[in-house]
Amino acid sequence: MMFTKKKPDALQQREALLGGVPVKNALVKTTLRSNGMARLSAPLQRSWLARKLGSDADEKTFELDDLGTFCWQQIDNRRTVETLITAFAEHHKLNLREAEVSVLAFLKLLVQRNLVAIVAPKAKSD
Amino acid sequence: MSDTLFHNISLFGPTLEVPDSYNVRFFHGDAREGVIQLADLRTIRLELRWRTQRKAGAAVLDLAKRLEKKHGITAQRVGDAYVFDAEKLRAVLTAADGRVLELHWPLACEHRNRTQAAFLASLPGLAEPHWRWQVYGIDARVPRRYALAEWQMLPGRTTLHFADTHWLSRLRNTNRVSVGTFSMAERLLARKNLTDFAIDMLKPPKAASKPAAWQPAGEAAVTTSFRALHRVMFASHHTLTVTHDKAANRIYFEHRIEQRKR
Repeated sequence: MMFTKKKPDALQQREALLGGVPVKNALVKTTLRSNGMARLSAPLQRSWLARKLGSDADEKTFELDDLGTFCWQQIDNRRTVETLITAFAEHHKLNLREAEVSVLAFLKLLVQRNLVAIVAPKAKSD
Repeated sequence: MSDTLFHNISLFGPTLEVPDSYNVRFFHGDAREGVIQLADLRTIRLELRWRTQRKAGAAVLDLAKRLEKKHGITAQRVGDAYVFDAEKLRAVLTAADGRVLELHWPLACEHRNRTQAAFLASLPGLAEPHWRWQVYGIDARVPRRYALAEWQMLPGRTTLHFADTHWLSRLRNTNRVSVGTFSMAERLLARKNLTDFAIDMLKPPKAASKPAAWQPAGEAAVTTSFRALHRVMFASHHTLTVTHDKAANRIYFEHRIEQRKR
């Protein structure tokens, strides 16, 4: 087939995910609450409907629990996903598989909310 | 010198001693036939398959010959096992306890010899009346005739439920064992003690004859035993032990239910 794109194999996809670097959205502000948990505030782009309805909310806040706060603090725009998983496992004395499932689910949530983007590692040239 | 830490994974009899980064990614089957795949963060590193077969020893010999022919390599004999150690095939084939067991390494592994030795050393244990089950922090000995009836392997909680396969026990749904672990014990016990946790999380059955009284058992463990009326003629006796392992930051529990005549 002429226009079929070659699919990367599972191992390559996995390498790309684990080697990816989570990068925080620069517009997100982090404040630490009195209980030590983080609160994230992201600017909100109001839709025309919200403007018509007179909504004046200009930011959205997300309150993290202690696990989320730990993960968020680990994201320094340099560490890879794999490093985050290992750090989470070590800190909470978790099995790597348990940490992997938890951290990836949390990162997925952050990406869906546009709080974080994951920068893929550069492909190795042969 | 390698600083890799190892742990044991035992399911359905054989023990696999593997690096700490390997965990169960997939498992399916029962004591008769099944498969376990172990993976690290990247990919599947080890696969164990087994099946019950008449004349298992002859079946292994036959399989080994076919693989030798197919891949053009010769298997080494280690005791009763056939060991293939080539890029085309990295595997151990052996028969134990009426089962054909196949251990495969899809990729080269520097710890292979250690895993292989521990696996072969664990095979005589298959004939013992109790099997050891070790997975995700669980370490329990369960009578061999008990079948794995149900399991949960969720992040933070792993539970295995076993049920006696004897027809009378199956009929009455008694003689059961449940073992499990909870991760992040510090968080779970932040606002309650171990007894309260045990009462909340591992609720005794409503049919208990009297409220279970929890007794300390050792430094960081509580235990209780009570009788629950089960059927007209029988009562089941429950023994529940909950242990907090501070070093591993885990809570273990074991719930044994035995049936005795009233």
